Amino acid sequence: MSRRPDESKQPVVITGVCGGVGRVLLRQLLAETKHPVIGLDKRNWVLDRPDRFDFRRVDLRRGGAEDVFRTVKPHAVVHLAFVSDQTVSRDRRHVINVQGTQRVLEWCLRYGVKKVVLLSRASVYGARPDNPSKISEDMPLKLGAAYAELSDLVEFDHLCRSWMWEHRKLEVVLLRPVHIVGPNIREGMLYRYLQGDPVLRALGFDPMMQLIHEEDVIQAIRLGLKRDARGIYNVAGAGELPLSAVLRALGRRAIPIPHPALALLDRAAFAVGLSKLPSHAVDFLRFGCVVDGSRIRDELGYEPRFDLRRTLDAIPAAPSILE
Amino acid sequence: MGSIWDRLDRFLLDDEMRSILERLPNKVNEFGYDAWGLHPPTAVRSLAITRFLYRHYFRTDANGMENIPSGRVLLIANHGGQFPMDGLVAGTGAVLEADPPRIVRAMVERWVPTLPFASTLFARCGQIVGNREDCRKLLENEECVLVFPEGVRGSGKTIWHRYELQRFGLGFMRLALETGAPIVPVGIVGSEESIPSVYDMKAIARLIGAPYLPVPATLPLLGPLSFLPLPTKFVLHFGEPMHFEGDPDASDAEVSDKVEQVKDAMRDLIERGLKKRRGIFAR
Repeated sequence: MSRRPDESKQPVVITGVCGGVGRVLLRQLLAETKHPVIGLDKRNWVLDRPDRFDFRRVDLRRGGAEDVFRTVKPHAVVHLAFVSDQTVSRDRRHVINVQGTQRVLEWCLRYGVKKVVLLSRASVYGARPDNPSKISEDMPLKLGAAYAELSDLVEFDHLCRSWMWEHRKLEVVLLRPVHIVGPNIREGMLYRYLQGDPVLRALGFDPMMQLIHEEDVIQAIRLGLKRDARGIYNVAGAGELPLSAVLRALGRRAIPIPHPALALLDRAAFAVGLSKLPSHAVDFLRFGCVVDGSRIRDELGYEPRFDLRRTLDAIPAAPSILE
Repeated sequence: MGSIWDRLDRFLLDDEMRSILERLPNKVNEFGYDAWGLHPPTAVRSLAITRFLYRHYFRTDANGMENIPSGRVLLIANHGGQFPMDGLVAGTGAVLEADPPRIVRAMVERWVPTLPFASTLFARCGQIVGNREDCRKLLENEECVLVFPEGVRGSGKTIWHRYELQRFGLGFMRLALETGAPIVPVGIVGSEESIPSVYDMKAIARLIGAPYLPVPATLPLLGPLSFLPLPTKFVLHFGEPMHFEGDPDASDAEVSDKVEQVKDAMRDLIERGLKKRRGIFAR
């Protein structure tokens, strides 16, 4: 039986490396492994460039990106080039999230990449009143059915899933983490929501929430990079707590508003740019979207290192209105 | 201002409820919640209110509470009386009279989570919206799950069919086989006369999306008040735990045989309850 070549020194590509998760992952891979890392992003890398790190400023939709795959022949790819910002137009999100991912997956196949890890999100299940109390990976994704404007998130997830089954020689790991928080995270629905103080909440509703520390997401990605790991995994943090407890722990004041008024208010504020949360976010203030994170624990040995308290402590304070 | 709330809190969380709160076996995280949203201090304070209904309004006579084991268990009960007073009384009984006290986890209707306040209160008291998968996870978490296998076939039936067990779903038995949870059959007497319905307006119910729509016998007399449960005497009988073994994916026919055993045990318990009760409105 022939052994595979030493994988520990093979190059790893991170797309969207300038984002919060990308930066933390890069730091850890450089500090704790021997992999050379190639970072791709169309934003510029403004931090210092340590050894074994090669940054290429490329747009995934142009030629330069494919050339990286052609010449470097990466062993593994972590695909993080993804926009979730709902103020970006739907067409543009589709181009980046769906078409961009499609191209990366094609290159992986064409240039002999062994492993690709992709980050979806737990919110693809949607916050619906008929959700089970713990959603497992096999549940249908209801987000797209309820909100056409978010179909790119669901389409991205389905795209990864179909590649997983059609191209068995590429090991695809699709992670669906819950709300990611941490000192480096400056995006996502929960982050934007907690930027407000006071925040608005739906009167009489107090859904259960799940948070995960950025470092625990990195742990899940690194477990996904291990040989033979493949599949779809929910990634949850240390526990569940109601929205009210999150707000209390963070010292945010909350103004309860009846939910029909809240939805109208948010739609108007989003339209004029005052709110960065689209109307579907109101459903996440009413209904839970709690996932069952046991599969990745059982199959890959994932264990969150940050308990609820430390995860909450990692959320940056809301900016003062005076600043 | 503060003192009124303190006094209310002392009134709800009296010595009995405080001792129950301390003895509850439920596993919660460092913020006091479990994954399904149960918050024992809130649940116990709410139960202080249902305790009044349990003791003084329904004058409940609970028997066989020692049959509720301490670990995972499925309570299987008969269902009737339009509104789930049976669930409320059995659940209150399991907290007040079982040792250790058990918070009963029941499945609520799927529209409950769309209601403000009620959705939150139900969740904090341990009631969940869920499917069989959720039930399995609850049992694996050593919880006490209440199932009415008759579903709306039981609760929606008219007064003429009281205490006649309707067709049982089989899901609970498959769950018991899968998780190894013992089944405690429960016979509830009193609920099935609490809103005596003489007719089920199925057509109108379908129109408004309700599973059934009762016409209470007291409607001409009481008007809308007839939809409030009458102060019937409740007699609960919790039977001895039944242990089943076998393939959880066996055919419906094989599982039905086991379900029949539970149904027979429940018939006996209901019979005992009816015999023990001196009258529908007895003291």
